[in-house]
Amino acid sequence: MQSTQWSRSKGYIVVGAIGICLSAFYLALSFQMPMGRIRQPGAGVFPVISGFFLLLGSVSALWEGFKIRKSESVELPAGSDLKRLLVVLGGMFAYLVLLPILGQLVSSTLFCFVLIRALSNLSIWRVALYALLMAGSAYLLFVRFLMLPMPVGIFAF
Amino acid sequence: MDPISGLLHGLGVVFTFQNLLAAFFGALAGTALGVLPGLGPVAGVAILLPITFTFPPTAGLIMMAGIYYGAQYGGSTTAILVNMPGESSSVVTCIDGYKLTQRGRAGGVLSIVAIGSFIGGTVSVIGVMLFSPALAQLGILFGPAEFFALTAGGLLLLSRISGGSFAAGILPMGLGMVLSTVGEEAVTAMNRFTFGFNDLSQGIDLVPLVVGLYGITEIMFLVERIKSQPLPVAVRLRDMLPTREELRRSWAPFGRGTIVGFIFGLLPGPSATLSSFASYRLEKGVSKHRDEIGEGAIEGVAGPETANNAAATSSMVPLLSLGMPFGAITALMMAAMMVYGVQPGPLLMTDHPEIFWGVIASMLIGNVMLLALNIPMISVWVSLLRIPAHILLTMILLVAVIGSYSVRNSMLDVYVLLFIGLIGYVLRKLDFQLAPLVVGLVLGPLIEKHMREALFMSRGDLLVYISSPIAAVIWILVILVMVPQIKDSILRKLFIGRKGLE
Repeated sequence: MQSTQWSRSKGYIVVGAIGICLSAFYLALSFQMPMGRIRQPGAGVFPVISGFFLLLGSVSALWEGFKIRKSESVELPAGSDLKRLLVVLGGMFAYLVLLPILGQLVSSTLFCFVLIRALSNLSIWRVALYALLMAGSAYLLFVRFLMLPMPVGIFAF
Repeated sequence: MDPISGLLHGLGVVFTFQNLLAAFFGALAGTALGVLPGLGPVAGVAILLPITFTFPPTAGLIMMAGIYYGAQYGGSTTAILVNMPGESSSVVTCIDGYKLTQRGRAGGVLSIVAIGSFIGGTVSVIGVMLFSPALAQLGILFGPAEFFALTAGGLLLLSRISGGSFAAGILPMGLGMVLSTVGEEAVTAMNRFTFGFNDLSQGIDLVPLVVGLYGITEIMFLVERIKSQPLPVAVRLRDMLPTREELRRSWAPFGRGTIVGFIFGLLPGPSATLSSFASYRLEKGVSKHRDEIGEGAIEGVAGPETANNAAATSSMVPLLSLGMPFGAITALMMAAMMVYGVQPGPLLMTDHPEIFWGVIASMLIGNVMLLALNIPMISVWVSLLRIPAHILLTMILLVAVIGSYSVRNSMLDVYVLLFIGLIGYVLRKLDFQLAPLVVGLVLGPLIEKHMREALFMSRGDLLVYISSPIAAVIWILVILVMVPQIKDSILRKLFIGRKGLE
């Protein structure tokens, strides 16, 4: 695997900082909700408690980030491994966008084509055949046999 | 109903064509999911959850239980044959299992694992039969304050004993609780944090969250290292016979593993994983062949594999008798029960004896099926490991999307799947624990409900949370477990802060 190293300390600091911002925003919204009375707590009480736990976790992550040894690192993909991962994620994002538009069968076929192409060295015809077979069998099993309702899109299937 | 009558009633429930089929399909699908790298038991159960909804409640839950213990067994096959654990509870199996495979003993080891899993699972069912009714009787005494202590205390414990640093458990737990507050609030029907999106008023669904956290994240990890996966060795049926020496050395680890696994299953946390590590440590401490463990000893496989199956079974006790999911899979089963309109907890045994005893009896039958499936079909499981990654990963992603969408017919759930997958990837890279997030999402609404009910019934007396003996005992137990860890953590940071955290 081609990889690059990233400081674990920085990772914790980034996660902690994002968590603090998120919990501050969440708590600000929570405090606008009705708190009720002590004998009948309102809808805002539990979100405030939850928000404080998220804040506690985020502050702890930030604190631990400053305490973690600088040499400790996290392995991240690089080069062709990173490219492959990004293609898979991009393919999945495109699939989710196209699913309600093109319907389950067509968008799944395209998705399978992109993924198999990215993950193998097969010829384009074999990739297309596999994509058709996989998307088609998933359609038959889940939509036709198990009757799970899926988006039909502009092609009506 | 006493345990024996209950079991007989349960066997009567299981011995219908539909329920036997559910147990068989669950064990089969679970083993396949456990064998395949990429989907562990948690993501597997989550993906198949929509399919279980097409069955009646008893059959659906029997199938889910089958997937769970089937996956525990399947994970060990991958660990033994290719030195890659199918799921976390098989990590220690790699150590001795793969070394034995390199010596040509793969078949014998797989048989020992099958026998150990059968013994651990079956004996554990007897424990579940005896413990669950007694615990359910105790649970009837619980009121809102006691349930609040149990759910909130259990969640706190889980976040601390899941492993990793303080932040690694508390941050995901807080995130899970925060996500549980999205949607329509139960008492006043007020929409919270929906930002005008109607789909969000139903809340964040558990299925896309779990599939995203465990399934999508695992696939991203596999895509990273796709070229370095080893191929399994061929195992034929005639290679499956263990030697007399292997069998003789395995009986004691089977017994010890069963006890360790059963006890760990009753506790909060990733019980199957923790029990396999504990059993391995125990074998290294007490086994006659302790010096060989780590270098390819059968005890290092027999003990942990028995333990993780025993734990998978006994983890049903808190779920069935108290309605308390102590792990991600039991949280999913609890969510499924709620979809079916069944309230897990102390009254389950009296309100729905067919579910309570049916699920317990199905584990007995399921373990026999697992034994029958695994030894003769070993070549099928090995061949699953030969499926090319481009086919396997694409299929898993396709099923993950279909499964997530079909729960509520909502595209929002599919977007949640991808978004949570990305968050899970980052959290896993940094060694944050994922189970507290899942359990936080499931227990969040229950904690809120019990907290508000307790205050309402006590007319605002805050002492209600600790005034009853049961609640007080639970909180004392929570503090006893939490405080030494917090204290140790602070001391460690104070004294070795400059050297860095371990």
